[in-house]
Formats: sequence, structure tokens, C-alpha cells
Amino acid sequence: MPNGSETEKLSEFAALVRRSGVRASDADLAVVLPIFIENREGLEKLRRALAEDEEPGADLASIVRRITR
Amino acid sequence: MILNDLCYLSIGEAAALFRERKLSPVELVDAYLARIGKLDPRLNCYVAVFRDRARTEALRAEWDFARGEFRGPMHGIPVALKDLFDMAGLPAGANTRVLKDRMSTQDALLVDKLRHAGAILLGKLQMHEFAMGSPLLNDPVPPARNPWDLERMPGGSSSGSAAALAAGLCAGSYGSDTGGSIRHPAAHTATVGLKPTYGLVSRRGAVALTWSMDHIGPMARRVEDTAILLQVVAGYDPADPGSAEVAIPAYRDALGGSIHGLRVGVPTAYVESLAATEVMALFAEATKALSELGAEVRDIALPSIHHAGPIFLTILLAEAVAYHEDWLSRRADQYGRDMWLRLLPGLAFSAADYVQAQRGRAMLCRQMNELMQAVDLIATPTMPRTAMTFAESAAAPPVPRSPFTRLANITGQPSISLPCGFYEGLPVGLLLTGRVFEEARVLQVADAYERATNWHHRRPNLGLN
Repeated sequence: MPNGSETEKLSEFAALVRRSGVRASDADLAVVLPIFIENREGLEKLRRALAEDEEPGADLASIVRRITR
Repeated sequence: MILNDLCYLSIGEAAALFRERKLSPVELVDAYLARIGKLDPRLNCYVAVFRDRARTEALRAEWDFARGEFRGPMHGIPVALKDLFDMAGLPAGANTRVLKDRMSTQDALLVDKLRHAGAILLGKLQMHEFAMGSPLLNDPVPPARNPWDLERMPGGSSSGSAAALAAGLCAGSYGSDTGGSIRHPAAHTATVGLKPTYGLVSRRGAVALTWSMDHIGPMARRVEDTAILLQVVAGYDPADPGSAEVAIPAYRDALGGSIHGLRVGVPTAYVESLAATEVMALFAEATKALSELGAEVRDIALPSIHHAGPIFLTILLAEAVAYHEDWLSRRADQYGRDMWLRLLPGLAFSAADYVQAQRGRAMLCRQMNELMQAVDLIATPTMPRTAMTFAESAAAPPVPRSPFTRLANITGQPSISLPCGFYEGLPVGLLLTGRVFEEARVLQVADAYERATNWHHRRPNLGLN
């Protein structure tokens, strides 16, 4: 069983998933919650790295170039 | 020649025997069909075997040869396809109940190209659900088993393709690779799998997983066969938005030459942080062999590699959820448990998460392009460990398990896995990754290593050899 803090995280995760209209059980969400949390922490580190990067969004610009080609 | 030896001929060897009229395509197809009949009830590689159609196509090839008409090295060669390529009039199963009523109305471009080349289609091969969900032994459709140890998984998602090649149940195959689905099973079965550069092979008529990272590529028992299989299907297709307009070289011509002076980068610290000791030992032997062949093997650092995990998973799941959105709401009960669990985190990602991951991908691509000016190839093990048992896989978290392979799906670079040894009877793979559209160089180095070693001569003991 998740502890108090984990219950909070599970509730938050469940709300995000169910916003999509998909019905997932708490038991299933608890299995993949650690994957979601680890990925979110990884994305946070990535955001910090991107803030120091010279060409943020370069790939997105190439998508626009494709549309206007 | 003994019947079962026929089933381990390379494509190049079989094509040469056809030309010399020492072997007929009917003889070869019959040998494969007999072997499939004997072994596949235990291995579960095939979801459909086209017995009558394959024999008819073999007869047609035999008539062509009798008239002196040879269309190329694939003419008369029996191949089988991962069950996500459309074939008109047949279900494109993708091993899922979600698509159980979907009947293909057209052939995938890859199927068209194989037919033009005169290849014979033996059947369709087992795979992980939608090229992602890991199978369980009690699934309604039994999963493919690893010919080197039937209690173990062959890897995936192109599981049936790799297992069939290792067991001598087809001469060549094609799979899809979004995070390692060609190379991962190749490594676990001592076969060869190439993920080409993004855009080199059309995906028209193949079930999607993640549009911006999906690749189609060849799987074989030998590097030369991989080159032959790639040649048939490479090329621009305006109907695939990811397709690239590039000149297609003669891949087979790149084989056999010296690799003296080629620079091979090894990210030692990164590899050591993930690979099991036994894998590390075999990998070290492999890089030593490359060095003895004249390659300049040097230690490198992979830039921003610690960001690759979240970049990969966010793009993988965000795009997959977009593809599955409607089915996830209306047909949740039709997904296998692992596939269902794997998709759930993607439903919680935000639009900003996806954009940041794509920005991170752009950063990683730029840094890798810079690194690839200093080296010609990067070498790592294909997988951190040998094949899991089905029980180990069922207990493992529902996430991708291929940290070494996913980098080339993010950057689009060509990447090949080939056997580099065995530990306790289980194969280990060597992964070689090159610059974009330099498949010829990747194949050249893989071929040089294969010629210098004998791992590709080993066969699993299936009681028929």
C-alpha cells in the first residue's frame, strides 16, 4: 500500500490520466506510478539543461519549415 | 545436402545455388515448410504460414529460372514478415485483439517491393502487442520462444522474426524498431538486425507505434543477407511523410573491404554503468577484435546521454497515446495487460512535456552530430544482459528495456546488432551505430567483424540439427 505522500502522488497521477477519459483502476495506476515519477524528474533535469542550451526549439522550427516548403 | 542444412543457407548461398541450378526454390520452400511443421508448434514463431501460396510462388520462380530469368539475389528466397505489415485480404494482426476485425485492403510497400524482387512469402511472424507490450506465457496467442532456451523470451518486439531466423524457419525477415525492436531480439537470438536511418525505408502499410521514431528494417542470419534485404526495400516513398530522398548505394559492394583506420568510439563509462559483467567481458573481446582488424578504437563520452531516457519515453508514449486515444477509451478491455500498463503514463504527460522532449531530442541530435565528426562508429553491447525468462519478464516493470538501442531511435542513426559471443549458452549482441545514411559503413564494419569470428555458425540445439 502506498504511504501518505505516495497516496497524494497517486491521486494526482490518477486525475491526470482520467482527464483523458480513460478508465484506469487505482491498482493499475499504482504499478506505473514510479515510472511516471521517474520520467517527470528526468524531464525536470532536461528542462534545466535546455535553459542553458544555445538553440532551444531547433527541431520544432524544422517542422514549420516542412509545412511552408 | 541434408534437408535441415538447406534451412541455414545464407541468402547469398541460396541465390548462387539457384543460378547454378543446383537447388530449386521449390526444394528450398519445401524444406522450410517441413521444418516449420516440426519445430513451430514448440517455438510459436508463426501466426500464419502461407503453405499453398509459397509453393505456388516457388514453382513460378522455378519456371523463371528454367527460362534463364533471374531477377536478383532475392528471387526465389523464402522470407517471412513481422505481423504488422499489411497484406491485402489478410488481417494485420499486430498481436492485438484491438485490431482483430481489421482486414488489410492493400499490400504494404515493403510487400510490393519483395514481390517485385521475386521473394517468396512464407508467412507472418509473432510480435509483441502493437510492437510494445511484452507477452505472457498464458496469452491467448502463445508468445514466440527463444530457440536457445525455450523458457526464455527471444526479445522483442520483433520476437517471431528473430526466433524464426535462429531456428532456421525462414531465410530472412523484416521487423520494425521504435526503441530497439529489431536489434534487441537479434541480440538475444544470435542473429543480425539493422535499424536503418530514419526515412530510408518506407513505413507505408505498417502498423504505427510512434511516428517520429518508427523504423522498418531487415533481419537475417548474416550481415551480407542484411545488406541484400535492405537493398530491396530502401528508397524514397512520397506516401510516407518521414521518407527521405537520398541516393541508395549498392550495400553489398561495401562488404569485404578493410576497416583499417576507421575510428570506433566506445562510451566505456556509460556501458559499464549498465551492462552485466559477463556482457561487458564479451563486449571487451569484440572491441579488441575490431582493433586487431585495424580499427582505431577509442574511449568517448556520450553527450547528454543521461537525458536520453526521459526524452525517449516521453516521445514514445505521447505519440503512442495519440495513436491509441480512441481505442483506449472504447476498447480498454481488449488490450493485453503489459501494453495497457505501458501506455498509462503517456496519458498523464502534458503538451509542454512533449515539446520539451522534442527540444531535448534536437539538442541530443546536434551533440551526436558533433561527436560523429570525431568517430565513424559507436560500439556498445546491444543489451545490458542476456535474455530474460518469461517469469522474469512478467515480474519486471512495464517499461522499455533497451537503453543502448534507443539512442539511435532518438537521433535516427543507422544501428546494427550482430552476435559477439555466448554466456552460459545464451547469445550476446554487439551494437554498431553510424552516421545518418551511412548504412554501407555500418554493414562494412559488421561484416569485417563477422568474418573474423565464428559466432554466426552456431545453431541452437532443437533436436533436428
